[in-house]
Amino acid sequence: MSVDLEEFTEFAAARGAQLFKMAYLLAGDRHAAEDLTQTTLGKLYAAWSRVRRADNPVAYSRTVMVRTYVAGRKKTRLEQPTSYLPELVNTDGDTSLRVTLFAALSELAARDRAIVVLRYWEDHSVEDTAAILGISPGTVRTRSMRALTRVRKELGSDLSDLTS
Amino acid sequence: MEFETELRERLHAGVDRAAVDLDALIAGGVAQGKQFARRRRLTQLVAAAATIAVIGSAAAYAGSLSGPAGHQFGPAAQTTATPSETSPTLKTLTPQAALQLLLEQLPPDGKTGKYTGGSNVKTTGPGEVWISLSYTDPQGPSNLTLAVMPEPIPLSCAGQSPQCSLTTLPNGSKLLLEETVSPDGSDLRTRQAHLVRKDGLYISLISDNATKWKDKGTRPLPPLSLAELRAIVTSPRWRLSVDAALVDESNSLFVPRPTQTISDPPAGPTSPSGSPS
Repeated sequence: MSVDLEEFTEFAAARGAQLFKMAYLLAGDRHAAEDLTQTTLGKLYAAWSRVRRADNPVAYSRTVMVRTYVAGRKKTRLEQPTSYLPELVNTDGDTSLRVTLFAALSELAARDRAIVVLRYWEDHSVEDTAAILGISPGTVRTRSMRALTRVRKELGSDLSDLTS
Repeated sequence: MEFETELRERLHAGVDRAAVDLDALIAGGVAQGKQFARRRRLTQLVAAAATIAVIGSAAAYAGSLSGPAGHQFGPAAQTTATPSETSPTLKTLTPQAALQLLLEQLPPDGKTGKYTGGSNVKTTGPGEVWISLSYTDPQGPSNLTLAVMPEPIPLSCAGQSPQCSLTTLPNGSKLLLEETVSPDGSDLRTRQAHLVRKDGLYISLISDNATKWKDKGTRPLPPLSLAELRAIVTSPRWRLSVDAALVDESNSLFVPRPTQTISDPPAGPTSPSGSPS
């Protein structure tokens, strides 16, 4: 095994699970999440000589995934169903909530969904989210607020009911 | 519990225990990465071959015009325009030029400051130019955020606040005006105008009452009315290429953040949080 492949494999093994979880929230079903994760890992491997010299390869991998997702959704949005029920990660407990939550997320535009995931799952600041997506902080704030309003409307009282 | 906190918890509950066959994904990623690398090398080879062909053709054509053999060519009279110089009198819109255009259209009874902004460039052309600033009138400070980009973002009031209207203007532009109250329970209020012109240019201007993000609670409402925001975003002065003098003269207003290049990853995403250039 070459040094590059060895280093990449080590990085992917450490980072892959987190990337997959992010892909799951972005893509909404397991198969699409696996595809997105694999494509992201492929891009990282193809550019590994640059990635390994980066100040923060983890941040780089996150940026690659989010931008791959947004670009992919733009290309295929005409083929995407407007609403669907995602496959569930776990079948134990909370299934209704997850179905409702993922269905609400599926109503968001790709970039808005990415903003929600970055801000509320990965706890990034507005500034960091803007940098990852390559848009302005003002746009992140606006779209974040609009996305939250939309998710809240889609969920209605489901979230409180199901979490209580 | 606040909605944002609940959402955060449910997002974690949704995927944090997800199991995945990492070995298979890594093996697939490596295979895909090798394909990407091969494709990139092939593209580079084709580009190099095309360049050589063009240079060869040009040299042959020039040779046919150059008269006696051995004639030396002088330097080309014209040089290729740089991305920032679209013509002798026009230059690409900069964040400072966007700020200058905005300052000229704001109500005169306010003071402005805290200028920040930046831009990105797509591999296919210009990207977003954005600025953020404070605007202080007798009722207190507020925030203003402007973005201009060549992307016809779909506008919709579906799922938005009740104070949202979407209209098509006589010139074919679509205009969304909205007043929002933050869903997180804070006193943050915004007034927003988003315009998508027929030529695909998107302009948005947001005025907020600065209760949360920048300054402490200052005022109950944003200072600019929807009519004022509308007048600004529908101005024909917003263009991606503007008078070179405007760009030159506005350069000293502030130092923008480094320009980001947005391309299909991983060709070069950059981020202050550590991604490489």
